[in-house]
Amino acid sequence: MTKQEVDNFEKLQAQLEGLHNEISALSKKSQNDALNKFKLKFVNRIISDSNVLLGDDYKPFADFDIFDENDLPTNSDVAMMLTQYLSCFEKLRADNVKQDFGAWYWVYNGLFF
Amino acid sequence: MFTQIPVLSAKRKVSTILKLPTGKTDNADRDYEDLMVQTMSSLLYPHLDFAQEQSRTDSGTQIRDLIFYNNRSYDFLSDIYDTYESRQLVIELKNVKVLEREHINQLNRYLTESFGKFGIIFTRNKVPKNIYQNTIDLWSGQRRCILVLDDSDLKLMGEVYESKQRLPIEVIKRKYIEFTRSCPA
Repeated sequence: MTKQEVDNFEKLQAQLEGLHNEISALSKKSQNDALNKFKLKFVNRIISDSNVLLGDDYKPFADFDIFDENDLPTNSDVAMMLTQYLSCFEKLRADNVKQDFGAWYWVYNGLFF
Repeated sequence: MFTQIPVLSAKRKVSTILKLPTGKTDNADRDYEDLMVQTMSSLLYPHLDFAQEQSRTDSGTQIRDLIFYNNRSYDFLSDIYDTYESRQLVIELKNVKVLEREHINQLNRYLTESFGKFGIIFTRNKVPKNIYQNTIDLWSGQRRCILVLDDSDLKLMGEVYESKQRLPIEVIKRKYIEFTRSCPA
């Protein structure tokens, strides 16, 4: 991963976690209710950026890109998919960090930073 | 002047409908129709103007419909107006356990010039595959669109009416998009 990709990774992971917390709370309240268009627009934007970063190797599902607003995705649908993205982010991170002197470092071309 | 029923009342009515048995036991069919008339006219307002409920007889069967004016106040409604000449939208109510081919044919026969070629059947359970295929064949052969919505769609309409996160009419639009995706290109 490049420095730019690591920066993107950290930003997107934080955004995904924020959305996941928010939507999970909604899902607990009413799991079968549809998510509104405003929230869905931002969920889709973050998922779309995540797809670029994850690439085909780390994307959770080959046949899922973003939610179609016409399908009225429910809170639990969105919460489930965000969980999948967070897991794949963790897999990408685990494959690109190494422990040295008791601390974790990102690996880029065999170098730690 | 028409006024929508309050959210709490709609929620209660949807919940009562979902608990009703299918068929005619204890006048369940009559209760289903009465509650659906009150509920749908509110859930779909103001995107569809409720015009009237109407009883008719087809091949000896009593049928109750809801008729709405299509005022094209939403993109999906403009679409069906242009594509199917749907000036008035008919919703037929079927409190049956399993939807049959004859139920589709009854509505199809009723879709005349004043209604256009688009109609909706509300029933209780998910439409069987062969009947769904029947509606697709009808589209392929005659370019008529009959959507079948069931209790799960009604439940979602009730939930979005309460939460105001989306519009109940979007549940019908979703069904329409699913239907068009199933139709041959």
